[in-house]
Amino acid sequence: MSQPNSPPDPTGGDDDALVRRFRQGDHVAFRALYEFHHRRVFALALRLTASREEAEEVTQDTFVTAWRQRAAFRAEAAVSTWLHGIALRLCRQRWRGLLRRRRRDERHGRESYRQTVERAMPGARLDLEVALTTLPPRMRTAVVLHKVEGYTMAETASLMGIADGTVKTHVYRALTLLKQRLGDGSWTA
Amino acid sequence: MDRLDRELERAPRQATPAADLWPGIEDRLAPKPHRRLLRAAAALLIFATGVAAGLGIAGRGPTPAGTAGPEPARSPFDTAAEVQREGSEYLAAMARLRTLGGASPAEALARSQGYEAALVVIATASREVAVAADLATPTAGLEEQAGLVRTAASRRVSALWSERAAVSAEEEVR
Repeated sequence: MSQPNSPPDPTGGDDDALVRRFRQGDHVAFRALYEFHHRRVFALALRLTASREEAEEVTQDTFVTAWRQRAAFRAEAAVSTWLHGIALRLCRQRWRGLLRRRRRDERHGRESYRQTVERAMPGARLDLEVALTTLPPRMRTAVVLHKVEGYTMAETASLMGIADGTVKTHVYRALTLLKQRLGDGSWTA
Repeated sequence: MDRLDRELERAPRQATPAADLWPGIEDRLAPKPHRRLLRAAAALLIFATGVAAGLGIAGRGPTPAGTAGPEPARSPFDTAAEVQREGSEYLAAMARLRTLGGASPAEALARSQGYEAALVVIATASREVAVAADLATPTAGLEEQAGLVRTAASRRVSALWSERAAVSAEEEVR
């Protein structure tokens, strides 16, 4: 898995043991996995829902689901990928309601999202983060997973449950739309 | 690779929630034995009430011709389907009761009451089936087992209380 700016794994060589303990129902191991992964899950949920409240709920639901389905986790996949898969499914379930809400109060939503990003992701480019939320959900998901999270096309396709070619199309269109919406020729430099 | 690609790759992969999310997760995962016991007990009560009502209606005998009964006549298929549905709910409630945790005397007593109620219901239902299908009545064993469950539950609850009292006394001495 290509994840160029992944944080170092605090579990080191004990990761397998930690995951095994988690799968066996060890609460301490579960808490350790939460401490290490919840910020990444929250970041993904925040970008996909564009709402702090929804992202917090998705993050909590992700870990509740992970605990309940811990026996189904296959150790050959990374825990972060598994958690992202769960978070992605939960975000999808909320998209319909989110789109309705955004149409109703789009301006207010964007303002509060900007504030949320400022607080939750210091150092993030606000114009880029806001532009990401204007993309249709599938395009946004594809570009966030592939470009921001660093998953390969095949991994992104697997997480989204679509073909590799469709991911490529979504990413290409997303990048084109982002450049248009950012409205600055320097983005292509 | 253009600037947009680079900026996306540099974008933070972590975000910090405004509040601590862990307490909410713990709360969602905390076992709530009382609520589950209540749900199981309610399911059993509803089923038992349904069986009792059914037996009551059956005990009235056929409605005289020309008089309206309490319910419109139903086809045998509907009634058979209803029996199957209610039976499945009974089995699901029993499965839930079986998997309930909790070691306190109150929880052990509630579980035992559930088992006893389940045996009484199944004994009544089997008597009804035997009468309807003209079989030899197979209920004596079940009713006897309900009594045994009651006795065993009383003994177990007494033992749990004694054990708890002994532990408290030991702690006081220390």
